[in-house]
Amino acid sequence: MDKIIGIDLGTTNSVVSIFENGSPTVLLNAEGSPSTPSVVLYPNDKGDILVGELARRQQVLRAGRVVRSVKRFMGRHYSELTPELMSIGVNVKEGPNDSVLLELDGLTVTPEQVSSEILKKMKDTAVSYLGEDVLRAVITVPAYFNDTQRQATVAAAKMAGLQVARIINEPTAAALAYSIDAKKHQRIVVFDLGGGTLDVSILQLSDDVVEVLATRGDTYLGGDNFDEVLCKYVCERFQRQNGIDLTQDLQAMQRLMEAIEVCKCELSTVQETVLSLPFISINEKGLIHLNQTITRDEFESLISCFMTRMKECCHQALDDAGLTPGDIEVILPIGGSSRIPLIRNFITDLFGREPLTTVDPESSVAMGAAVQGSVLSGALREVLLLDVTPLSLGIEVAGGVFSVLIPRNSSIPVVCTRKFTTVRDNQRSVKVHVLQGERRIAKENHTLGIFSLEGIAPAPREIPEIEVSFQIDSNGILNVSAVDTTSGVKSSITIVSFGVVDMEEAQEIAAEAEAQTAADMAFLQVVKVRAKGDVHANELRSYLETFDLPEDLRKETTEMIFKYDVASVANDIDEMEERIIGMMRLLSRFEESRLVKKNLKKI
Amino acid sequence: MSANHYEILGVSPEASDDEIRKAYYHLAREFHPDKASSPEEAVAFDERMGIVSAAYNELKDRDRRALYDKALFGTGTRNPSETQQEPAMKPPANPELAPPPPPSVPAKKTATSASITQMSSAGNPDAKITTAKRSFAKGMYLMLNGNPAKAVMFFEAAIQNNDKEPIYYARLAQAMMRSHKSFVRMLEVANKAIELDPYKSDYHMILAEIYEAANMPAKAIDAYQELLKWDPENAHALARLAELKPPENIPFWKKLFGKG
Repeated sequence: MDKIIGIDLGTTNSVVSIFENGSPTVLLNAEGSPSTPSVVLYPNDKGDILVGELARRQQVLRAGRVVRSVKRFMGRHYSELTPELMSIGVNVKEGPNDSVLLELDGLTVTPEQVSSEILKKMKDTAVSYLGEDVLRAVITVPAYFNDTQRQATVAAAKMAGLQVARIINEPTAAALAYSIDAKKHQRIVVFDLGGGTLDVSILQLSDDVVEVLATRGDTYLGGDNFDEVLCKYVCERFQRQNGIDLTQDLQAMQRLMEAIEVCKCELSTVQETVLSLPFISINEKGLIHLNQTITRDEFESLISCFMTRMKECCHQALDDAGLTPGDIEVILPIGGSSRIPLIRNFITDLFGREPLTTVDPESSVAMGAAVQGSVLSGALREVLLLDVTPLSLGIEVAGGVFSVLIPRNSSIPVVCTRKFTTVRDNQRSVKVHVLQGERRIAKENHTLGIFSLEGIAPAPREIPEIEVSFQIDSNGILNVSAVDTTSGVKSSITIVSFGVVDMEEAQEIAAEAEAQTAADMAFLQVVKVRAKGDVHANELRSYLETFDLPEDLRKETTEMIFKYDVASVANDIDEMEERIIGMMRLLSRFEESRLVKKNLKKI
Repeated sequence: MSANHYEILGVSPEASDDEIRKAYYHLAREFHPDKASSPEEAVAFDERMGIVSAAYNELKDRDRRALYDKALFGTGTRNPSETQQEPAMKPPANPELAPPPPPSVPAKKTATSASITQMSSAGNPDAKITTAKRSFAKGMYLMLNGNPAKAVMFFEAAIQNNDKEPIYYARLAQAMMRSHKSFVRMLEVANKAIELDPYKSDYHMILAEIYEAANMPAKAIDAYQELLKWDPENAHALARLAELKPPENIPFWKKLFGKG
């Protein structure tokens, strides 16, 4: 039975833990600390890499070669990035196929590579503790991470030589760690406000089952946002006093960000603090210093704009679970930022009770991951985790509408099948565009993959039955398949990481499908009109054959049919329409004509 | 396998929320992939648990359970959102005469639990709607392949099963026009289409074409004018009106053999 370690790969700090002797233990790294800053330094071009505290200490001196908060870039497309994300520190560049590249001085890396260095260090920590090699790990991600972000984490783990036994959600992990001791029937909320993300999860705890009822979140909201807002405030004050824009000075900004983080933490315990950075900059008068006092009030008013978003997340989660704030018995605050007094007050106001103080907000997640690792390795049989998928999954249907197959907060593993059909006569293929999100318009959701089902038995539209099946397994991997029930043709896709190759393929398919749709639409128009016209033309022809018509009428009819044929061959819709009107008039005349009535044939 | 959600979970349809949850936990303890003793067993459990979870997901939310109960038993007084659970299925306004209907969810089979749950009405009414759809599709097929007379039969059948769809009437009118059927019924049908959906200029167009084909320009003019009330920019209608007005007083025989 191999040991599966639990890793909390956080935005600001990472923790590794293992379950032994009936409880999860947090492991100390080489520097003797339970927590490793998620900071990576590439000091030279010889391939040396520093991770953790050592890197963090040099983040000012070696500003151009340090990456921090890389989690904010994991699994993101370049086009998704917001200006805040691109603010200070690392230069962000667009990679092939809308991916993200981080540009350091003379070195370019991907977010997955940087994360893999952190994971390597976590693995090494475990290996030196256990005295044996570690192959598998349970790694946590924010509950609201989409599929691409999760797969990016798996990719990083692979690079670090770790096989991912399971990706689990951070709030769920924290609840799991809590439940080991609690062992009561309770409804709990995990309020996880970390460096980069907010997750609010509602769970039902029983003797041996931990069930997630609902989860909501915001992947753009965390402690880093608070730092940025405070930093802007300080810089503006400095500019007013000294006329210098510090944001242009990379080293100054690094020093400033570090100091601001410290101040932010201090303000959780004191009412005011002094931000002091000597020799921050230079002007014609000489070297200048930064000395500012920041009060708790000032800080609270700066971050109050984020409270609305937090409130919304909480209410949405309660709605999804069908509960009111009063139904919640315990609130677990997770993540460093949950220590901020304003946040704690906010939670107390909303739920009518104070969040727990007995839970360690920084190591609970890793401990929970270790517990799950133990369950998966078979060592721990008394606990079962029932999680949900956080975002709705579905496909795009005619009209660009998003049709949901698996709604958000559905328990997994789950299988859902629905029947769809074609939109055109003799349509031989359908494009299955798999998306994740809550918007009604398909394009506004997140694309997971695209594939097509070819070889559908020819039939008028709306006749074929295309069965589309979505399957999410316990590892959260999505399998989508489509089957034509008549011909039995089947096609499927397993949603994997949008690495360079897959993204390219997917884009190719999408572009092809687009082009085809446009051509199809145009062609379809012609076909429709031609169908109408052919019917009239054929009728006229049959009249010509069957009856003896006066010479000028016969001539007119023949001419009209001929003109129509010309237009039809030329695919000229307007011309065809005109000729059709002409033909219809002729037909009506035949109807009325006594000549015809005499020999009226029953059609 | 035609088990419904309640049967899958092993509870009675009157079970409380708590009982349903307990049933789910009970099954999970046995069949959740995490409890599997081998990777092969885990795969089998994944599939099995998938169906169980699908059933639980429909029953754990009160609103969804109410809808499901209604579909299954035709009972239940709660109508959270009675009209189709998927309003998103309606296609946007389409300039073509025959807007492509959205990929629809036809009459449910009781096979997998999931396909049942998306329905908003149960049993017979739904089967009729599907029959109507299929008749209509068959009618369209026939008409496009030059057999308007047979198409008329299918369109009539479609209307018998579902008399609320304006397009059925519209197409019936066209098919009748092409196969030279009863003029009176043609008008009746075309007018019904307009009555059901006056915004669609195509239906007015069909009526106008019928009048034109029947050489009743005065009525045709009326129809075009009505069309323009709903769709003032319609080029075709404007063109036709320009040509028709003022109605000339041509003797009948001249109309017959004169240039159109």
